[in-house]
Amino acid sequence: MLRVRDDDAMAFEELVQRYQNRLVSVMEHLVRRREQAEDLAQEVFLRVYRARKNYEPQAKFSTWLFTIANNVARNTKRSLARRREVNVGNENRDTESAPALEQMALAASGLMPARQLDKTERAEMVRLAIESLNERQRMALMLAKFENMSYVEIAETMEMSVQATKSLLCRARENLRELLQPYMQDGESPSGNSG
Amino acid sequence: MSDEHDTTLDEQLVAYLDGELPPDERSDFEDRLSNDSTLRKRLRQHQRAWDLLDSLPRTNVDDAFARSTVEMVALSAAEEIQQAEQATSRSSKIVWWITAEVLVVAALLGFLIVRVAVSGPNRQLAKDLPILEELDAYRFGEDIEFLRALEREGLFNVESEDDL
Repeated sequence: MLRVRDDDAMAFEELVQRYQNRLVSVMEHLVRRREQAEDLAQEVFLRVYRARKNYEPQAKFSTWLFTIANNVARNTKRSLARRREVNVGNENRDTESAPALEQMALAASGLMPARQLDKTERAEMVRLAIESLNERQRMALMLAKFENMSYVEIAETMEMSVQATKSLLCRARENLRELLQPYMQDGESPSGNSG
Repeated sequence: MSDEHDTTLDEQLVAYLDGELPPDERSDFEDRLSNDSTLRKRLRQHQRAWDLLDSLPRTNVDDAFARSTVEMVALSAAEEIQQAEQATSRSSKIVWWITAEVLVVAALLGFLIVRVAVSGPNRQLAKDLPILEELDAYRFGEDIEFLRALEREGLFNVESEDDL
């Protein structure tokens, strides 16, 4: 990042390549659509470039990157919510989350065939469970799980206190446990191994 | 009370799994864990749910993503440079015009000052006043030596004597 700050174009490309998958992955879980996640990830990289002169080497780059990502995702959600309010007569507010919750409920009620879920089905169940969490819980969960961030780093990224982060992660993990409970028999995952 | 207790315990449990529990709380929690089968079961469920997240497919964006991102940033940088150049050009023009205006105003002021100072109609009169005051006396003078002799006699110092 220091080379990017010094206007090294090659370094910027390297930086994009290094973080693109991680960033798009987090964005995809936040906004749910791949194309939009990629657009937002590009917006994040653009902001990183524009703000390169303000980068402080003391700050961990990934923390800085995901702070920007969090702000971009939050702003997008706000814009979408405003647009949805304008078009309230044309669409249902819960159309995005309803199918996910419905499918989870259906699965939990035992209507799904009692068999081992294959890898794709398991991934889909997990994806639906994550989508059922609220945006902040999802973000905290992604940063903890896939970015291996500490509570302090998550707090910094999401601009909140460490105690609030601790509570947020606790609620996120508790909700996740409850949502995935139907697929774990007495603590065992449906496939019979813990992954 | 019970809810608050459960929340604290849940937070401890999650922090324990995340390796974020302070050492003193950690050993107390482990003691409790060894004596509480319900808590152990809950911990296992949390851990399994956490591990299930690994079944999510890894995101892999194609090469076009990095390329188009760099192009987008390059375009943005070019626009920034263009805007900066336009701003510089605008400010240079403004500076040029201000300088030109200041020079014109300075030249006009200088001209007026010189004009007033050099060609003022009363300036010469004021300069010639001592001679005009003694013009009658000068008319009677036959030569310069005679006038100097009168000056030595104090004939031209009437005002000075009055002052004294």
